Amino acid sequence: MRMPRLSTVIAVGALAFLLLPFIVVIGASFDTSNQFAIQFPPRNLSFMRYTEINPKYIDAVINSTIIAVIVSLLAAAFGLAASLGIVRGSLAGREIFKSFFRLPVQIPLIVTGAVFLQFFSWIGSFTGFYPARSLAGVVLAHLIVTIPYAIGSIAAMLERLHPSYEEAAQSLGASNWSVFWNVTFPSIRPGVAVGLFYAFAVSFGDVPIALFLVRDKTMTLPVQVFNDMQVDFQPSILALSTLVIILSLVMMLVIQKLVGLDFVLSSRQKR
Amino acid sequence: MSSVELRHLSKSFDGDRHAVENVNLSIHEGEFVVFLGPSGCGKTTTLRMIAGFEFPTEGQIFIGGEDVTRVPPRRREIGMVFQNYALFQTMTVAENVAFGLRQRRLGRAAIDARVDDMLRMAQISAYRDRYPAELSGGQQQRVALVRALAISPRMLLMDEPLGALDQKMREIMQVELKQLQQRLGITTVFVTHDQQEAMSLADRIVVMEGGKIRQIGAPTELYERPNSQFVAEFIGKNNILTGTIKDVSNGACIVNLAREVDVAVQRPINPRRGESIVFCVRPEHIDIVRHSTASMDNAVVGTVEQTQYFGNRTHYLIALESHKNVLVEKARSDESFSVGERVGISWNVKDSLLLDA
Amino acid sequence: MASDAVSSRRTGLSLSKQVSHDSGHARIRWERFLWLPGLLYFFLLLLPQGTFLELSLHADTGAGQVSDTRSLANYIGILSDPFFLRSIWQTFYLSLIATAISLAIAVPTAYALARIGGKLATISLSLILTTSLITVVIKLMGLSIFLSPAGLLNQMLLGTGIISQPLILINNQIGVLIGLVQYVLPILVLLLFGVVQTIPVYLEEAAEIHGATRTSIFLSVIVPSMKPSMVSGGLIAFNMCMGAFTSAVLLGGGRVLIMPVLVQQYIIQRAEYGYGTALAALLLLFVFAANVSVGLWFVRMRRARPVRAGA
Repeated sequence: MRMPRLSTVIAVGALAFLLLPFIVVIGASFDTSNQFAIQFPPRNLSFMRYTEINPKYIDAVINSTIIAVIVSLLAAAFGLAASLGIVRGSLAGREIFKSFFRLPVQIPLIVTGAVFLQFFSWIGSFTGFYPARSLAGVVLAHLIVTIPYAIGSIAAMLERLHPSYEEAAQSLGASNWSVFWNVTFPSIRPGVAVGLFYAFAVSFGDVPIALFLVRDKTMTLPVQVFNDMQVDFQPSILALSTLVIILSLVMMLVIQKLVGLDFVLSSRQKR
Repeated sequence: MSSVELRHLSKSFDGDRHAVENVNLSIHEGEFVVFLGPSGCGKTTTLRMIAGFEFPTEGQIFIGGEDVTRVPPRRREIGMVFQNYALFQTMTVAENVAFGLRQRRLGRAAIDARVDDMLRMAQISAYRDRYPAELSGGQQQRVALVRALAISPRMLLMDEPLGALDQKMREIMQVELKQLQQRLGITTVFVTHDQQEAMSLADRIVVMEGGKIRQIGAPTELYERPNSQFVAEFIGKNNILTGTIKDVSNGACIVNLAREVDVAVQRPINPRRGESIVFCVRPEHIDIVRHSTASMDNAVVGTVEQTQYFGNRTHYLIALESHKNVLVEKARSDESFSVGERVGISWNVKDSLLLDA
Repeated sequence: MASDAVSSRRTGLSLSKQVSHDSGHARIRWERFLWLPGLLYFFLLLLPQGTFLELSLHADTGAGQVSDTRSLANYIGILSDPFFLRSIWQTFYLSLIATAISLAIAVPTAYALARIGGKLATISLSLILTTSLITVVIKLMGLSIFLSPAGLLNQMLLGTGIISQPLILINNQIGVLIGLVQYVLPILVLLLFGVVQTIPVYLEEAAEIHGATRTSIFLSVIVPSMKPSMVSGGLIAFNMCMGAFTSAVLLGGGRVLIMPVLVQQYIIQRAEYGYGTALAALLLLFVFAANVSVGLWFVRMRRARPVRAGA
């Protein structure tokens, strides 16, 4: 038998390293050997941790979900408009536009968070409207950093759609509106789906931006967990995290079924 | 069906050199015209201007006497078949064919009837509810064709529509396409870079190069009377020879190819002694004889350099003493020559054709 | 970046490029769609960043207030204070080390996955993709449980007798490094996997038939072909590390004060907006400087040595 390649050994190790944190969290969530301490590998398996999830986490999950849903829908809409302009538009410096619309992901997230904290209070100081007092603040801040992800997957799809499809529709008598709804949009729908998915994931998981913008009422799940991990770690967080992990896996499977893994991978917006 | 007229049509991109320059062309009703030329010759750009996807920088386009130069494509009532077929992947075959009819807001029943007719005509009724990705290349080609025809267009445009098919399928489709076009009598413009395809389909061929029309004519005309070296070489196989006029007689003039080698060719209109000329002779018009035998009248001596056997014919590459190679085609193989053999080649004076240099 | 260059080349070949530069074209004017996102980018990117950078020019006057006059005082203060200089240096070298480790793991991993192929690779890739999309706090939670003095790793090491005292792997720089690698590794693997897929197997077969060993094939065929994407991927990883805040806080235990941590502390906890914004601006500057200098170096390297066939 041939010796396994060194690269294969490293790959197995890397995969184990990447999965390790999730296995630990999932495993520890079923441990009930000690009320207050965390134990991995788990003993005395039970669902006890799942029954004592603190209501503040439920509120945080609801907030995070609302934010992520609004953000992903808006990001997909703006990303669609930008992609159509960049890929199909008649532009002198196409590459410059591409780089410009990619800018938000190249700024460290912590900087973006600080920027919006300052910007929103500056806006509030002369309009009386303080976005950070409601979910709007986090939504706006997340929107600008998720649009590049939406552009990444939608533009990738649009580049694969040869202009002759739109021309064929035109020559058959379709108006611009009809060309878009009957030909362009149906063809790039997978790109839009992946864009929605990435935008949702980025928004739902963000700490460094939301940290600056949330208050008690607008608390998001990652920030709540982040805060509690530093001061008051409750083992029921493990149960909630396990649910988030399972939900993410399910979403991943659904999106893969819909558009295929190759496309999900190839259209990932590079930071 | 409509006639088409292109007047002084020019197009330049980015203010660059002309992609199409001063193209003038009249296409009769029901005519099948093929634009032929190497890639970048402007044939596709001209087609796209007729379709309306590009507006010309200068000139006018008339379809059925109507000036459509600035009319957007959706109002031109033109059917177009694209190189990649451009079948809508998210729609079934029937939905693809119905697309143009739906844009015209026809009733459901009328659309269904028309779609059924079209699918039956192309013998693809069985694939009605399939998606394009589930069809073979030839079937997709048929769908693209009937989708374009379903709207009863004033004319049909085809941009290298057979390019993606394999050789056999392509020949089948050429026959079908020609039959269909004649049956419908639809004015058709077809773009290709394949001269054989152009010859087999066209009523008239428009040979283009560098954005300009080089020659317009029926296939036989272009083959037998090319007006330039470019056309002579582009259509069919040809031998291009150069020499200087040595002597002029009644029907022909004697041209010196190399030191001691003289041949008779057709007489130019104004022959001048010492003038250099270019002429061509088709391989099948050249006779080949063994060096030792035959009367070597108007014959040039050479050596067989290479032979290629095709079954119904054989190609001989003959190296002349002027170091020029000449291709000769022999239809039957009752007499064969072998590499290295010394042979004489000759042709009828009327088969040597003078060309503009 | 290499992958971007590829995609733009593809656009360049498509018909859209040809027709798009033409003013007299009878097409849909798609470029008008840019107004909407363009305006949004102005209000949510250029305007906020601009006012933010402006704020960094105002010195703190205490109690969350800043002076009315502009000066470079904040920048001078930061750049002349050994505490901040140490933080800048620490941010820089932690990012660099984490990037190097991640690349060293990601390159062979991407290679192995691409060559194994099939269902196994697909499952591995979708798992890696999922890990990259789940919020980083959950990853850090799992890591800190596993790496803690009483955690499984130390239990196993103590149990086998390799060590006699638990290793301190969290609340220090080692913890932060592990967290950073965990953060950027999946993205690097996914990015490089796409690159390995484009290296034809016959190149390796050709090398093998000429007698090359596995190691020398990897080093002489695979690695050179991946070099451009290793540079661009490394840059992406470095950028991410420079801005990584969550890992530094949760695995550094408040002891690893890299720039992102200081930005948050100065703005939220100390309300010293002048210093906080100037720190953020400097962080931004370093990230951009790294991008630009690597980009320039990359261009020069390519110009000096013509692109080899197949690469």
